[in-house]
Amino acid sequence: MKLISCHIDAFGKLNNVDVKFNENINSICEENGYGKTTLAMFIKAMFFGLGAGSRKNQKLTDRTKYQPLSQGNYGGSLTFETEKGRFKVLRNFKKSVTLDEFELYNAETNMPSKAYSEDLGEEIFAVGRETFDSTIFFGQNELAGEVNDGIKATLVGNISSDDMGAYSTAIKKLKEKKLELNRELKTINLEYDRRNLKENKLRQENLKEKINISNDDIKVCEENILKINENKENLKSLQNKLEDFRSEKKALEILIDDKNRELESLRENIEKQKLIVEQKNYNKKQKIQENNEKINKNKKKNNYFLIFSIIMLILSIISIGVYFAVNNIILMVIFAIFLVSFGILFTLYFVKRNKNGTDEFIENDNLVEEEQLKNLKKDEVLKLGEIKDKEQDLQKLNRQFQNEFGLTEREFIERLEHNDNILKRYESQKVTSETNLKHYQEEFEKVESYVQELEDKLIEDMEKFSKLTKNLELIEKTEDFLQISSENLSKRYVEPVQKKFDEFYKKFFVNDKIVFNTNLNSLIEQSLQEDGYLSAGTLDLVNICKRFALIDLLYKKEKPFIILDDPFINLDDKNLKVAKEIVMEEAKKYQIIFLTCHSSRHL
Amino acid sequence: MKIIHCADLHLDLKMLSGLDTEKRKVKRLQLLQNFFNLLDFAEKNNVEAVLLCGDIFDTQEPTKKTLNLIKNAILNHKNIKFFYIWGNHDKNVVPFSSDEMPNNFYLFKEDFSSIDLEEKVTIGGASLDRFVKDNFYSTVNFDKNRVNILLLHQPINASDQYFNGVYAYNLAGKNIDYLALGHIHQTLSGKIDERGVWQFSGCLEGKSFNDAVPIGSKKGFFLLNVENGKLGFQFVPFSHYDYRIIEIAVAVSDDYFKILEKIENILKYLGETDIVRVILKGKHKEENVLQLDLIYEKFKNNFFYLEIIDEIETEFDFEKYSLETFSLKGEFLRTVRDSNLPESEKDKISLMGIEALKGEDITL
Repeated sequence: MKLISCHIDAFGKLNNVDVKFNENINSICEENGYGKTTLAMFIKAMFFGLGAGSRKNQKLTDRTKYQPLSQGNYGGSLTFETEKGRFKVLRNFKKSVTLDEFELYNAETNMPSKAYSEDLGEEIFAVGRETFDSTIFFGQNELAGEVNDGIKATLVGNISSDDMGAYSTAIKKLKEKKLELNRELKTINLEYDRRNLKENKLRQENLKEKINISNDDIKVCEENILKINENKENLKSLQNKLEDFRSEKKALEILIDDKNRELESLRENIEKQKLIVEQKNYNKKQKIQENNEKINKNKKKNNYFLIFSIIMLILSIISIGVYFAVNNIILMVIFAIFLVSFGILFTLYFVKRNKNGTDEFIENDNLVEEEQLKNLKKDEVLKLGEIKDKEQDLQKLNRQFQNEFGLTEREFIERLEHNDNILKRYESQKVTSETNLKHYQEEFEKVESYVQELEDKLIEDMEKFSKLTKNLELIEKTEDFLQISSENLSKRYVEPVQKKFDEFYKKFFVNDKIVFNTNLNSLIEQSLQEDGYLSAGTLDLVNICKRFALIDLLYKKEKPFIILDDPFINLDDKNLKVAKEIVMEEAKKYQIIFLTCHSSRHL
Repeated sequence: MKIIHCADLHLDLKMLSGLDTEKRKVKRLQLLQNFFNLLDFAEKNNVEAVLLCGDIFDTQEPTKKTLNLIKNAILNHKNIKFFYIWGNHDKNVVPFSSDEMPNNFYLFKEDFSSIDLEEKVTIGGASLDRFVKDNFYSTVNFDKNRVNILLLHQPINASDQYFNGVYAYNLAGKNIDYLALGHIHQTLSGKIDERGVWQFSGCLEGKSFNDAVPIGSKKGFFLLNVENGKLGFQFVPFSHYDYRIIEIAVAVSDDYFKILEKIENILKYLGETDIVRVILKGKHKEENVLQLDLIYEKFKNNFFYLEIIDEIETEFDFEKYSLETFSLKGEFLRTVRDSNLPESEKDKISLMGIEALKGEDITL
């Protein structure tokens, strides 16, 4: 196809401009600001229209960017020639795509034509706007041109661009799924699960150990308590004996005390008796003395009675004798009087004499008391003997106790107390151990069910983990297979591009070898690979060659025109020469619209 | 005299694949509950003895709680005699310490021993190790005039990874009437000699899909009846939760609704005490969307547990793709098909790749 001419009503800075195109090379050299890029954009817009453009990236859309500065109609016309004939396309751009006006005329008859619709770009070139941009539209600093899925699909033919695009979508989908699974995987921490389980199992073991220890402690306490209780039983029987012993001892002691008290009172009595005896002895002496005096007195008096009684008796005898002699009754009476007098006087004498005998009794009475004292002393000796005996009994009892118990009563009591203390200690220990045991057992049960939960969680997590990793593995395998398939498929379009590219490139660069990867977007210069870069100029040349290779391969239906919008700004003189040669060479096949602002780059 | 023969209770079961933590707990409790239910059954039916033929516990370290529950259950059923042997899972585990062994609990240790009961019944047993001692068979000694029951936990006439097994011919002529076996989780039986039979009661309740039973069947125990010197037995289905494996054949032409209908037709016989694995087998066309997750969502609450395993082979139209020389889908499917991966993986990768290439969300 060929561009014939164009009329720009208003497009960007261009206003009412007419351009006529040569069949081969159209080199337009104008200074900066002329609107060369605008012209290039106008030609593209005539074929592909001005897209609605995306505002997402907030860049100015072409529609806004090329809004005319003057008042004229936004748009113009372009006359071109294809296999179908010569046509004139008129486009008037409005605020939105739907309002845009499109007209197509047969340029020869000037009649409206329906040979192409408003998508005439796609219809003529069989490529989309993006492919057009990436191939025949050599924009400034945009030589690389993205090799999109559409280009790849067109290159391999028989394949829809959807299918090619599907690869990146598929990879995206798989990556999304991988991300989702990885997120899920991150929630599983098997290491933590295992550590936690291990720690709690250890806790469980420790508690088990503590429970065993507590059980052992309780057992020991119980054994000891049993022993002590047995001991206590023994001691109890001994204690009974001890009680007997104690009561016996007590009785003895009381007895000894009684005896001692008795002895005491006896001794008191003895003392009293001694005093009495002494007093009595003294009184006796006094009395004896008094008596002696009295007796002496009474003896004299008595003697008088005795003399008088004897006189009376003699007189009575004389009277009786006289009576018998004289036989006179009077004498009898006298006799009786004398006899009675005798009787009275003798009785008095006798009484007096008996009175002296009482003194002798006093003397005798004192002897009794002394006798009593003697007896008391005897009793004392007896009591002392008894006490001694009892004390001996007590000692004997103590000895018996010691023999029987093997220890003294004191020691025995101490032992009893000690026994009780130990018993109390073990009982309290047992209570403590039982409390501990209960606590440990409760704790153990908690830990035990927690461990079971952790085991369950670990198993659940392991299952989840294994499922997730397996699925991730599957996704990765799927990715690999997709990549391999895509590469296999790519080879089919990379190879022709490479071949075509080499044809161009080798003409100018005999020694270097440029290799395309499957994306065609990147270039690898093998000999320079280690240096890591290609110079901007070389890269531009490589891209120019790649574009011409792609144009050769892609545009089979219609040979397109090629717009080069000052593409050689990075090239040095040597490369510029080569580039010009390439363009001149291509101009044999394609109509070239070459725009530049510098005469050195002018073709 | 009535006697229960059961085995493989696997109390405190460790591995419960698939179930979440909450359901594991429930399942574990049910294993215990089953034993208590068995004791209730024994009480109601005047059962005199329960033969516990090994693997009563799933672990050599059962929880104290479980041990105590079993201990108390035995102590609370003084009129029932319990005969106990160890299995490979619970070697040396006894609910009672040697000083607290109750009168109604009999443990048969490594060597053969026996106990005479009324009605001329003798129960003997031994907790055999992996390698059965040479002299074991010679020590088995029963009076021919009594009804003799022997407890063992071993495979019979075969060996496995745990045991070398006992052999019926070695027990022939030993006057055994009934060899009560544990270890194999299914009910199996055979003859020892003219007189005796051997029998596995199977586990009391399944512990994994390996113990799955057909629809209508259950795990359980054998109820033995000795009357007038004659021994008879019958199987008593007793499990609460049952593992079921349902295989559904999917035809190439089956769409989502057809498969749903097929699954529904079988699952209607199952309920909330079933642990169900549905395996879909067969082939389907790539374009038929199965939506197994939807099917799962529809049925999951009807059962204790449900899993749907997709073993359906996707039938890709390789012919169609091979015609498309430059089709990425075709290239992908061919690459996967020609790889050395296992078939099941190939299918999954193919499906996933196609899903991804179609721009659909990956279902896995």
